[in-house]
Amino acid sequence: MSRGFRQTMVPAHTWAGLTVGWMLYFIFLTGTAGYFDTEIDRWMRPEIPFAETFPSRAEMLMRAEKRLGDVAPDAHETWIFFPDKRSPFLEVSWENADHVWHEEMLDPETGAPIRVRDTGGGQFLYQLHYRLHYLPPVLAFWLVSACAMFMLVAICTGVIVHKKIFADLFTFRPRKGQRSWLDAHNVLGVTALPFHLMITYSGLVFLMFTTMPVLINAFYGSGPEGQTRFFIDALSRPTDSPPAGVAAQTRPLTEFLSEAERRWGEGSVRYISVENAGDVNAVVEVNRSASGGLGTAETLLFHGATGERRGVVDQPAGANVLRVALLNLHEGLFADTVLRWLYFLSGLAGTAMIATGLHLWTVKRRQKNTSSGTPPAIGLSLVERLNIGTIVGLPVGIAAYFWANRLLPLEMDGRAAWEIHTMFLTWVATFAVAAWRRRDGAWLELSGLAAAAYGLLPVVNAVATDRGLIVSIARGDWVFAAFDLAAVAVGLFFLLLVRAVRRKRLQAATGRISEAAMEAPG
Amino acid sequence: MTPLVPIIRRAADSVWSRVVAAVLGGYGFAVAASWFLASVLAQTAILQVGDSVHTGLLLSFAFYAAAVIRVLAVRSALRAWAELVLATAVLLGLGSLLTTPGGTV
Amino acid sequence: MMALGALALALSGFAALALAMDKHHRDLFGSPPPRGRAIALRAVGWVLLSMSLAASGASSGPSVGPVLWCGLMTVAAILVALVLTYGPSSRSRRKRAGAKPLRSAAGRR
Repeated sequence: MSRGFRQTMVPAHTWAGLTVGWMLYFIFLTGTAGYFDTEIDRWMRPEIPFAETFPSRAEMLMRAEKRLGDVAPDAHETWIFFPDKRSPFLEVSWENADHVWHEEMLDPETGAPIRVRDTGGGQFLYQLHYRLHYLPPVLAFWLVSACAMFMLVAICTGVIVHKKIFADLFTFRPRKGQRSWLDAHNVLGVTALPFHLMITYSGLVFLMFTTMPVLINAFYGSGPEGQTRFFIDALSRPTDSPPAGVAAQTRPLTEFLSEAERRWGEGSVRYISVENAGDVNAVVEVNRSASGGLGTAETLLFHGATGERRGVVDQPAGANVLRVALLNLHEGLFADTVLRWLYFLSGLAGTAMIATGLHLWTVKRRQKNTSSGTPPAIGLSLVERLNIGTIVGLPVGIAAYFWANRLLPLEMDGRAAWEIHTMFLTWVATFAVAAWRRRDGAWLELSGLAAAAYGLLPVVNAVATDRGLIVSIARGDWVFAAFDLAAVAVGLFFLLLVRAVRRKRLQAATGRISEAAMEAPG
Repeated sequence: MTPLVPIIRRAADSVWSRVVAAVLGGYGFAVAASWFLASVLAQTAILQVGDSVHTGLLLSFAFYAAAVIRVLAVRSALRAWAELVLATAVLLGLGSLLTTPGGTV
Repeated sequence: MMALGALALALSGFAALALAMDKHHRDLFGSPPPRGRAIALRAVGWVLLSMSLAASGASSGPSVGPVLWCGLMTVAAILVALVLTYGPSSRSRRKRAGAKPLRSAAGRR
């Protein structure tokens, strides 16, 4: 690799990173939170009782069917999700003839509906990283894909630019300004390099049917029909069977459940769904809860009216093996608790790599300014402010989302939407602080605010619900306890940031004095 | 009248021209390269049409990244455009010649 | 439990690889490693990392195991870097050397 080539990659790396760095930080942070979407869901719905053991699937199926019979006798599609350790509740959802979806959480022991608060939950945070909430989906997919493409280029050029990243794998020299930030950026980048590459590339693959349509249309004809033909061909997607319009009783669902349990063992079914219920073309789907690893979990398909097996959806085939593996790697749904935490930590490493990269850009330029004595350019100020508003402001906004979940009135109209508005309004406010206050002041105040917002979250939780940290630990409810403890940890991190900014400020002040003293005799 | 040509020349050789080449030209190249790959895979019956297109799609982002890095590495933006247009045209031409329609159209 | 073993193996593997490097060896022992020792440390490091992969595979199977291994390696490498930076020996070394004021240390570069 020639020196010249490496040199040309420096501006490429810098600008690929800087232009979309803030978006990437947003995508990485919310996506990382998404690894615990189900756990955050639970914390945000404290009405769902804590449970670790559940009745048999057959009993729960009976309760779910009874409830569905009461509330949705004419639904033409119904789903029944059984509880597991991550989601300890029975869930039913159905679609009526008017194509409106409904869902309800039921107590596994009684089958009674659980009245949960209206919330976006962890699902919202997870979806935020590719849906960007306020934008139309297709636009969001293109934007996120473009950012991911920049990220891919930044990763490749990063490996080229920082030629010593592997030699410097363990090198972190603290308290040396620019050098320390570069060290941190490198260590975070290279130690989690497989994760960064995997998550970026698989993110692109997730949206490739949207972003690379030309190729599909070139081989399968134009428009959505061409796409559909491709999906049938390449994804071996089972063909739809539309309702025939002839009524026929669907066999009792317990028959399908017991056939699946004979195949996989008791307690191994995740969901049962019925499509075209009551029609002669009814299809019953039974899905296995065991993780399929990097492949897919097995699903059995039945003719609802006759009970005959229609087919088995199991491992993907052909090129689809690779796509499914990449998507699974990205989502990490197969991960147990340990691996889930590792995913989370790797995601944090990526987030921190982006943050240190953004900050490094300003540190470099500010040092140049200080040594040449010129005032900082507008661009530098702008980037500094955007950095503060993003790196600290977004976490503050997310904290506001959690606070809103506990403090907004339970009966409020559009409650879930207002949780989200609270988050974005708070975030906008932090940008205002960043723009209006002095640079160091903004770092200090917003970090202090973040420390308080996360540090006090367990207190708010303990006051607003009966599931405070002490109660959770006492009953062994580690999802709730871990959420509260993680909030404290995040609070402590921002407290450390406050300390670091203060120390730097002090140092800069004494530095100026000693510099003046040294220059005086010369 | 005379200053127009140097202005266009300078614009075509500017940083912004290179950025456009990387972002849009790179995308075009990625489509062309994966199209060519898919048509060769299908034509030589190494894979079925569906899997060929699928493979092309999966690799398209690697082609994209490679094109971007190449565009940023060459000496001048004009040279970058020249390489990009030539490679895209050749791959697209061959690809469309070799395309086997897939599915039951 | 197996995952914990895999983490321990990755940690010791990276520690060995770090010690094979001149600067980290110098930080701890005052001089770069002799050639033979560096080669031995590097070999031991890679063997330990491969054993960590094997342990991850034994813990989570052939497809998820490597994923677990990557995650453990990230954590292990960052931990080794932190220990080398903030660990007890590096602190005492700085004290022994009579830590210079920050500014002059930065100015040397």
